[in-house]
Amino acid sequence: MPQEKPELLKGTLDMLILKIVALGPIHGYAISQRIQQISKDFFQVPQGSLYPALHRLEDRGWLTADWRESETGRDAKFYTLTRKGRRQLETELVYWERLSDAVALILRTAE
Amino acid sequence: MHWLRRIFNKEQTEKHLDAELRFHLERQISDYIAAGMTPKEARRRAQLDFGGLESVKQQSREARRGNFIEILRQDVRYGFRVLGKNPGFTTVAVLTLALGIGGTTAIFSVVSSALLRPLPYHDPAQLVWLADENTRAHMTVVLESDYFAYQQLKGVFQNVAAYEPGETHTLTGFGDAVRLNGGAVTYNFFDVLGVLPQMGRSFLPEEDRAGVAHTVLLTDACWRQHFSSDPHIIGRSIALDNESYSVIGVLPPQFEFLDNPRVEVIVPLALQNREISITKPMRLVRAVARLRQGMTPAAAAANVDAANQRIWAGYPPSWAGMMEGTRAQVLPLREHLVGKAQPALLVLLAAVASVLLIACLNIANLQLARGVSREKEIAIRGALGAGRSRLLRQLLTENLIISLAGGASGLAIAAWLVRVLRTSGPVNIPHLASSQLNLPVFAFALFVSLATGVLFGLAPMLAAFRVPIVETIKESGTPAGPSWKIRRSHNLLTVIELAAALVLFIGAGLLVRSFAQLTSVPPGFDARGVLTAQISLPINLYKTQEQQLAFFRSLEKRLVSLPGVESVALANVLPLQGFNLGSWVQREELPPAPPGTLPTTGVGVVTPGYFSVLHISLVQGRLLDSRDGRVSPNDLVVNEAFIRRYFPNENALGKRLKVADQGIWTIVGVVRDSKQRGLAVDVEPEIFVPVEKWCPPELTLLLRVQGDPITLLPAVRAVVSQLDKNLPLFDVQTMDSLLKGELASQRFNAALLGAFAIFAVFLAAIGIYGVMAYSVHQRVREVAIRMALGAEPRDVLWMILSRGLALAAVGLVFGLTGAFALTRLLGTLLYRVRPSDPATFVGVTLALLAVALAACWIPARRAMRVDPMVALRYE
Repeated sequence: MPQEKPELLKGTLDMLILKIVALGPIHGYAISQRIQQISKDFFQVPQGSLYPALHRLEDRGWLTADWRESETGRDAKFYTLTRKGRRQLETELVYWERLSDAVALILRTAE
Repeated sequence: MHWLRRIFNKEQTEKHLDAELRFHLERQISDYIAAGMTPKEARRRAQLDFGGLESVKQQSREARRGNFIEILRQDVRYGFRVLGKNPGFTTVAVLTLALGIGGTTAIFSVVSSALLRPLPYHDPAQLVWLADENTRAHMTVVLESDYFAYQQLKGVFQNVAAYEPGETHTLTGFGDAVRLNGGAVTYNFFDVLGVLPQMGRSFLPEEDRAGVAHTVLLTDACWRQHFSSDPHIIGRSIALDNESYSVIGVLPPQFEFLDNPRVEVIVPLALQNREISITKPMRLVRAVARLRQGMTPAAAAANVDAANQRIWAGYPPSWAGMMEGTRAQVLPLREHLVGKAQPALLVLLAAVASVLLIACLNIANLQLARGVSREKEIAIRGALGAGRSRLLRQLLTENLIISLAGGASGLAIAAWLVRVLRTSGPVNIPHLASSQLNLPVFAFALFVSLATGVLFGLAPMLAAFRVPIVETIKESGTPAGPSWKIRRSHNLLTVIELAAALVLFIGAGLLVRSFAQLTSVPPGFDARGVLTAQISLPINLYKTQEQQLAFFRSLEKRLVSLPGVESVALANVLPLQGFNLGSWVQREELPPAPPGTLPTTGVGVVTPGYFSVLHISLVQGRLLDSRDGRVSPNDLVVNEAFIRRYFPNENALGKRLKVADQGIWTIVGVVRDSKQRGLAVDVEPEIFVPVEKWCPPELTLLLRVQGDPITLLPAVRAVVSQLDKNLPLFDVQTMDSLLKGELASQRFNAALLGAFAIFAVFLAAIGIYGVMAYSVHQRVREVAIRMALGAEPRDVLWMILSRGLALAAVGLVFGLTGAFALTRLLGTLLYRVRPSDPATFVGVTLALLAVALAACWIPARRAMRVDPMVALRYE
């Protein structure tokens, strides 16, 4: 039995997806591979919860999607960051930095 | 709006979602194969990583906002499908709601307009009803001469008016002849009430006299219905009872006549301030007054009492004696108008509230039973990826569909019931004719039943969520946790339902028994085929008693020779209507009693035909006959009650009596008791004297006729106008309709409460059936094991029945306790039935027990037929 990894912090999955999509058009499977690479040692992202999140972000207009040929030749749904999505990513990053600073500060002072 | 587009492009969206997820899975599988796994293992791993495909799909769909409408559409469609699959449940639930909501709304609409709506008069708080109550003579009226005296009490009343409802007029000349309900008032009646006609004017003092040109006021409803809202009606002549009346005004729409809101035409009462005399009749009227500022009803009553002593001191001794012990009654007008109907209305209200309660309990019970039987379905749908909120929303939708269907049918039922009540309810409910469907009440009833449905529809679901889905599917129907709790609430609901149904059933039983008692009271006369009408001779034309008598004699003679007429009588009394003449009576040999100490005996002034027209049989002696002329000895006939009071165990024939100041009279005959004062009033001593001795100018005509009495009316009118073409017949009624009117309000109460009780019992039966069916369903395995171990079907039957009966017994015990406490409220509505009538209590309880037994029997039989092999294998 592998050791239990902590669940991804709420809200951070959205930020993670936006960050990955910001690097260029990408399909769902590739996103999940990237997340797995990044997070392998730290947290667990159930693959199932990726798709509802993608659809939610698309619904909010932060991502757009179109069907293109993938690297294996099969058509896949590729997601792209919209301008609105980029702005959202920036606010989330700022917010995230502030939060992690604050947490770090609390942890330091608590020592 | 791209999400809007998505709704209409649903198929495409679904296909894309499916393709996207499949692409992911297949890429994962091929990656695993590339990493060295066998294809089979790779597929298994990929699916494990991914989780349930359907569940991910559903979550992705729900992540989109536009799906709200889509989900609603699905929920509604699915809801209809589920409800359609359980037509039994759906029908019962909708019907329960419809009747519960409809009944409550209709009755409450009527009751609230009767009890709560302000009276349609100006400053109604100052208005009082004024009467002198003579408990010995059972009369609460005002004497014509007293009315004129009360007008002088300027320190007490601003104004006093007199009125009489209840005459019927025939309108001719506007299409077919129609009968209109009439009222008569003194000219100042509308000043007292503060009502102004919407058109024209009200009566002038000089129009309120006998022998002047007739004038009439129309109510708004009458004007619209019979005169098609003719704007030029004022000043036109209309023919009422073949007499010409000039229309002087139309009353405003909200106006309602006192005591009888169905009055359509109003004429002057034409009272005369004449000297009171024992030989002249005295008109009895009703009075309404406006109190002077600062005067209370109690103070006004004390003032009237004091004035009465003065007024009556001037009356002849026999009148004064008759008025002895009479107390003035001054009631706020609202109390007078509503007071009589109040107990019946409150009982109806309580009944209808318990019907709503029972309906809600039943919905709760049904929902619980259904919820439990759907545990497995819910669990499977949960396993297939339906989120809890989605499941809740689905159930909520189902409940809303039921509630809306029930509410819509309830609204239809309420509208229909209000219409029925408006046209056929008893007259004594105030504002009935104008009562409207009360929408806030409807909204309340709908909300209560909706809340019940939702609460109890969701409760089992919430309980089910606490049990792991897998366990529920595996165990298939015997989860110990939530079911035990649900069974307990089931039992509780059923017990309350049965108890409430029993209280209602007993109440209805008492009213039905009371109604039966009233209808089975022998009235002592035969009402079929008797026509009655009033004739009043103008005293200025018929000055002496001889002239009056001569007119009545020739009228009687001519009427008797009409084809179809069997017998004719004239009298100053009419059965059920009470006496308008009373006198003290004493055995001749007794010393004179001080005035006012002797009770008043009703005096009927009749022609000999009175007893044969009404089929009142002779018990002893002879009837009055034409030998009792003006010069013959003072003969009179008494009823059996008179003999019981004054001559018990004696032969009364030939005995002599002192009758007020009218000398000595001899009893020549005894007639059977008849209900002269009303069906529910006990017969009291009464005497009947020949009309020749004491002829009043106003008499009631009674004709026994072959066939329908009303068809003879034109011929009778023709005869009267041959004798005096200006003489009207009024108050035309058949004895049958009078008798029916006596029973109307009792019939109404019994029928309405009876209908509610039947409905309540029906609901309770469904409730107990539901509980038992559910319990049998839960215990199939237990039954199967028992039978496998050798239990007889009889034992199984008893096992199930005994549980049902125990439940019923608890409910009935609570119900009986409640009924004992609550039926006392019926007291004044019951006739010759005690509120704790043992026969009703026992009978109704047994009947309800039988219904409960029958409701348990069906599921118990089902349990008996359980095949242990099949049942256990199925497990």
